[in-house]
Amino acid sequence: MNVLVEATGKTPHIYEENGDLCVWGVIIPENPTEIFAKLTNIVSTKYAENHNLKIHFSLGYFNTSSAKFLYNFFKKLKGNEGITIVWHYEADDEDILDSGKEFEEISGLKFEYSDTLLEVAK
Amino acid sequence: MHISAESDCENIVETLENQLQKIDKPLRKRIISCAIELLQNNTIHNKGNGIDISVTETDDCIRLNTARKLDGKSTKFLNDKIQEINNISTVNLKDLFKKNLSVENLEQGTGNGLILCRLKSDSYIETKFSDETFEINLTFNR
Repeated sequence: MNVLVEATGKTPHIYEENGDLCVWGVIIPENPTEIFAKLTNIVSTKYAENHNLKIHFSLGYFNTSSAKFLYNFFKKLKGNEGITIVWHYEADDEDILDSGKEFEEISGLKFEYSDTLLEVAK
Repeated sequence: MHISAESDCENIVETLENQLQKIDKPLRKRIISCAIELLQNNTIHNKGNGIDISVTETDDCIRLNTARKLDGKSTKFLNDKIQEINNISTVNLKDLFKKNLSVENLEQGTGNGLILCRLKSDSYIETKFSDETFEINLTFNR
């Protein structure tokens, strides 16, 4: 695991594993501008390498400010061939699953789903 | 639990998870999601004033209670906003939530925090105010 951005109490780990990009933890800052700027830069750099990138989102919580940034993030990715979004949720967490489906619907991206959260060694 | 608006509240999820760990996880997550929104609503719109958050339990339900210091003008604004949300059906609130996501500007505050509180709780958002204290209370069925 190659950690690109360390998690805080309000922002997620962003790391690389086996060529995939992973966003793990919570996204609940009052102002998510900075963390999404970092994420967008990382995605741009990684995607430019071979135009093929799988991005995993494994989130326990995100606030409504971040939901808006997530929507914009996904919307900007639409149309980029080779991008795959994998949306992780806990099997009993219908709210996070539903959020993924809403992002998929309104952004127009195709999501894959996994009912297991990623495990990150602390 | 009193949370100061000036404090960073950096580990708010961990703090709430620890305090509410006896509550079943799906319900706990809904409560914590709402608590985060109410806390951050206060942080963004009521700078300089803290907020008290408490959770009370009965056999049938769990209540999330918050209280903040607020002047008369802000009280009217916030109360009007909440009553507006209470008067919209949950189906229409879900549509409004999605519509707000797609609004272009990315300034702080989306208008969705209170909508989420209504959608994740099981009754109308209750408000109470007296002596410059404004309470927002949510009920969650077990």
